[in-house]
Amino acid sequence: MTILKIEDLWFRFEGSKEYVLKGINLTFNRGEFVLMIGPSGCGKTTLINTINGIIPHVIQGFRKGKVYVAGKEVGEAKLAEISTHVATVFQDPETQFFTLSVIDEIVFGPENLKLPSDEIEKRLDFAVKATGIEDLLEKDLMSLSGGQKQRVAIASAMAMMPDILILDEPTTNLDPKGAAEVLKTIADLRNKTNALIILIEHRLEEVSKYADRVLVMNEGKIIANGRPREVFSNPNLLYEIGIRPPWAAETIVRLKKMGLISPNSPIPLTPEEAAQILINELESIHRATTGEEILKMMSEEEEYINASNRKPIIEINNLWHQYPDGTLALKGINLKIYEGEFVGIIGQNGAGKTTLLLHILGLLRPSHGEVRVFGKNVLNMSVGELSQKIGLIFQNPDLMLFQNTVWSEIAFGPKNIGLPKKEIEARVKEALEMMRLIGFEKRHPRALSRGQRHRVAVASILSMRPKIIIADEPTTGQDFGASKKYLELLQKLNRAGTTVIVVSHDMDLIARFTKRVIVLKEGRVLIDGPTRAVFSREDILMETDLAPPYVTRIGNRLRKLGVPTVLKVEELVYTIASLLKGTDWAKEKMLEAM
Amino acid sequence: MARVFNYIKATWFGFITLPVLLIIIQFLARELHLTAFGVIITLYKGHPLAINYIVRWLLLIEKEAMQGYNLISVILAWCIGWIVIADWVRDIDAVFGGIFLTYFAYILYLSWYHHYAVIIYFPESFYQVFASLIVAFIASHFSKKRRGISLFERLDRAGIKVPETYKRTTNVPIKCPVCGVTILSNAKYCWKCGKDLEKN
Repeated sequence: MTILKIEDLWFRFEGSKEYVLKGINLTFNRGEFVLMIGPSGCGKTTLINTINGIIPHVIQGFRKGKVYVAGKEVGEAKLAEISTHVATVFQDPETQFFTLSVIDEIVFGPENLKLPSDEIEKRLDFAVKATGIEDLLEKDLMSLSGGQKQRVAIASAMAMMPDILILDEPTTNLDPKGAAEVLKTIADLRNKTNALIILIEHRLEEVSKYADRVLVMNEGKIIANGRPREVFSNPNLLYEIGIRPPWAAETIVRLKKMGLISPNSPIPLTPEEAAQILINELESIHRATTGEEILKMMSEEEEYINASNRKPIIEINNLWHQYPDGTLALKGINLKIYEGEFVGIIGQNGAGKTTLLLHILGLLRPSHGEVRVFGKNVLNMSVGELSQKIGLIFQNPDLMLFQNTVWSEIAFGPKNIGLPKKEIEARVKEALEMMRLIGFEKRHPRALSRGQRHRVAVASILSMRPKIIIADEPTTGQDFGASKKYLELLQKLNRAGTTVIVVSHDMDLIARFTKRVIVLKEGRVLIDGPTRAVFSREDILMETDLAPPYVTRIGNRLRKLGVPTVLKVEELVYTIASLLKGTDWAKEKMLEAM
Repeated sequence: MARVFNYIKATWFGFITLPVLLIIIQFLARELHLTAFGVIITLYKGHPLAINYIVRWLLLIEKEAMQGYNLISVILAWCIGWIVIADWVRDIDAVFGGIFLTYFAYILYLSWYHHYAVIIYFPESFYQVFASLIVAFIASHFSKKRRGISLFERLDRAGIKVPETYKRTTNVPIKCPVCGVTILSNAKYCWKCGKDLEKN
């Protein structure tokens, strides 16, 4: 039964000539679970705002076409009426809360509909059971973790008993544990409600197995609309628009194209499915080489071990930190980071990652122990001295941009440390060249695209010529294409000799770019080693509810067949090709594919 | 830079605090009727006072200030002031420097600002300085001792137990006792063989 119909929908914002939505035609049925994907800025959020009535009732603009929700045209119906049919959950749960306690929050919507108390109780019971938050009911909202808050936001939406539930990137601001909690809740909802669920999400591996349909959007148009296995059978389409396809599907598609597995093999959606397909295909086939040989070729272990022959530039000696509220954030960290390393620091929220960074930057005083940068205790270093050694790139580049031109933005740091004019000019020119910003000198930084703003932020750090660059969650809120470009930038700097430390929840990017991974758990180092070795230890990572990237998980499940730990889909394909046809053949084929 | 800041901190707060303390002591003595017990002090008589007059008392260049309980009240003001500053600044050099700089600043204040001919008697005009140096030294010693309570003692007192192995400074890199690989931190697990390094 059709619950939502969109007919030739066009929309552009007031004051803008360009259409954000361009002739959308879609039909959705009750009980469907639809996954909507697309790069940042492709119009996903605008499209859902035309469904929940925010457009045209709150946000003005030029709208053409029709959107029917439960038979009513959204533009003609009242917003209050639409809200009884459509509920939306946004990225940040805190922006949606009106009250202080979980129970008040859930009943807030039904109370506003002036429903009788027994009906409100019924709805409360339904919402709580549907989202599995029975244990949170008596709690204050502020005492909840990010994942729990988002589950309460979903419960509040469910209490409205909507016909359509829209979830707009509900896991973006959450750590892996919180995200897993929310995604499980969403998956469970599928069986507990007959509502149409539209989910916008970048974590395709986790959600595609639940989806009945996948919609791919780009530049305001629907470019693919079909079952997950159909849509993901064309990974190049997704790559072209900056979306990373699920590793499981991509691996199988690539192997099929190379003629290494049967063309009739199904497209998998999970690592387990992919591993099973590969086990079935490869078990009985003669192997041209052994896993050990490939492992040898891929090993970065030497690099990790030899790092200790270089100069340590950050030394952390028995570092403890206790916050004034008594929380012990760091419990005796001893570690060294050496010149030229590319280090990833991972861990759940509260593991101590940010506290550790703040100590390296001299912004927190250790409760015990010390941090030395280039052999000097950071507490005895001035801000000017430290800023010439360490550059910090914030999560949001916009927080770093406050000048009127790109040139003055990049020159700000060198000017502040009193460098002569000629030196400042030389440094700015060098940073502009490195970040490919020549020609942008006179532009306003805020008028640039997000990628360009990121480059300006990095250039403003580079002009200080720091020996160490620290990036704190550099890819939050960005699609895969933008994140990859940004990490490639850091990789380029690392190859030029800068030590790079990245703190992130994005395991794919950590695996793809870093050479060493430090996993923190409850203020201690859980494991520290070469990236490949750390991600091969799924059992140890599970202790802190982290999981290696999906492609690594596929590889780890094929160990019996001689597949070593892989970090990228290219490595997995290469490994399987090497096992079957020999390394020379695999190399040749991979080069052809590139 | 931090040391210079400590000198400035000690001198500035010495300069501001001592006159206030002297007035508080004199005020309390009068209001608590200590005269009934033979404690005769004569700076504060219930009338407004000129600051330069209080400063002259603090420098012990007023004859009245050098007598009996008046002298004790001046020395007490200096001592209390410098105990507090020593505990706060926690830099004994800066505190000693601050005592002399404050004394010098008062002389400048009187001679430049008030064109007052300052006549210093030795050693009488320095009794309060000597006393301040001694108490500041003692206060600084005790303050250091107090600060010396380690995080671990604090945790112990709060009943928070942390394993002894956590408290040790590990000289990194370390070698895994099982497989012998290098580990660049005091990680719980070896990255190569997975050995739990916190278990013996």
